[in-house]
Amino acid sequence: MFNLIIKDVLIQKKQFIFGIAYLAFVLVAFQGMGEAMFPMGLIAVTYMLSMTACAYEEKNKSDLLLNSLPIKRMSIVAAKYLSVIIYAVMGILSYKAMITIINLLNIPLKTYPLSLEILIGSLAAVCLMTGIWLPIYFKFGYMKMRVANFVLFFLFFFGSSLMTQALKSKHDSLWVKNIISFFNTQSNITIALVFIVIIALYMLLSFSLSVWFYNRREF
Amino acid sequence: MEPILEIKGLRKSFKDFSLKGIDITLERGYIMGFIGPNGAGKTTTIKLIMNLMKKDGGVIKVFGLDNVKHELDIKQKIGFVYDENNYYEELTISEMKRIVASFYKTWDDNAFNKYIGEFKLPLNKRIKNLSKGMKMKFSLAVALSHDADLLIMDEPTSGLDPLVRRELLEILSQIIQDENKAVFFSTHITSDLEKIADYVTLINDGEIILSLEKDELMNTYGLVRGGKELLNDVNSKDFIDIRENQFGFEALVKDKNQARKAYKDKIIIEKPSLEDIMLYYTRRCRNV
Repeated sequence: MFNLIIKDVLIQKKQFIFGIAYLAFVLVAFQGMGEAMFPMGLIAVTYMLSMTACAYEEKNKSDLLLNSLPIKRMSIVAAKYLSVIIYAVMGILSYKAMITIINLLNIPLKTYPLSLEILIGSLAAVCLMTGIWLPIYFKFGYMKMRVANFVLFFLFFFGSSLMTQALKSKHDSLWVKNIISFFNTQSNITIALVFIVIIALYMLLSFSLSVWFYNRREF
Repeated sequence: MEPILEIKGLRKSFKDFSLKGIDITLERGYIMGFIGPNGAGKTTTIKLIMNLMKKDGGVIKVFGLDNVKHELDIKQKIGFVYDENNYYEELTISEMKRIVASFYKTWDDNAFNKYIGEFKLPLNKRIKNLSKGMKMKFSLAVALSHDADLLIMDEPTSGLDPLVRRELLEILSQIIQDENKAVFFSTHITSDLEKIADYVTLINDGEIILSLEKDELMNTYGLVRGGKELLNDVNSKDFIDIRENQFGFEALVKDKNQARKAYKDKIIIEKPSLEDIMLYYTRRCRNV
């Protein structure tokens, strides 16, 4: 399985350089965004890398190759999930390196150290996105996933603003109050842990769904 | 010893095509040519053997083991070459080899390097820059480098020039010197099989029309020619299919000795090619 991840990295050497360049661009161009520039850059980079990896699979019809080799279908799915995490870690490390270089060389750019909240929040956003589109990819393949992604993208944007409005209008209702009071009374660590557990369960569900779909695919 | 490949009553239905309970048996030490026109079910059969598709019914046993239950063990011992290149075009030969090799327990780097040398393949060239012949040779080198006992090939010669095709056939006949190995080779270029196949299986419209030893097939079947006047007297059941022309008719018979006895010197009998046999059978199916 480790070799499947290496394969995903090897087939997109150019995209990695582009990804780092993009992060550098975000650092310079979105100075006004403050801390929020990092999650935005990280999501964009992991999205680009994982989509490109899937596009290459489609282009080379690699499902035929991978499933003719002695590999479990579950390993093929797991490799795709893990490679997204690898992309995110690489994004985080290159961002860290860039901040360090900027500070060392006294380049006149504002840098924002990566706080734990921002880091967890960014990874959660990456997981949220991956967790939806990988099952769609394993069920329908890359071309249909692109259409679904387009729809999801807009749903995500409009959905999140609609949800914020709904929460605001209902902020007197009991369950919203309960949630708010839970967050107010817990320590940051507890909140982070609850958050991580929810995300982990969500990813486990997404992974199981992907395996279930992929085991039923025909090539 | 159990057959290296055994298929019984294999069924698979699609909207516009179905595999109708086919049977195939291949013993160790032989090359079986799997022939039929495009869309006859050759690739579907191969995909079912490789568990790339789910069967609707029937049994597929490779090395005596169920192909789904023992999928990974079986695939360790299968070498495959498909009609299209399915390797990552962005990688070089050596990068691709490193990845594929990691999945085989019995990968032999020396064997791989030997084939790469023999085929004159450039290790550091990207796969997308290789010619079609070179891509096929790379697939073949991978298929032969993990001590596979069964080689499964789906139209490996399509689109290749005669020189490369001949090279491939020579390699296959070398491999089969080892009596533990077998080759299952689908093609619609039947002349390739006349050189190397031990058995020929003909599939048409999802049904196995015949599965015989090649020499038996070539020696018993006959291509018959006769005058038009004979057409009224012949029993059409004696022939697999009859093709009429301006001067008379041409037909395929299952038993040329029987035809000689029945029609004596009214007919001329020639040895058919595999292509003749395939064409007469598939046309008959269409006419029926």
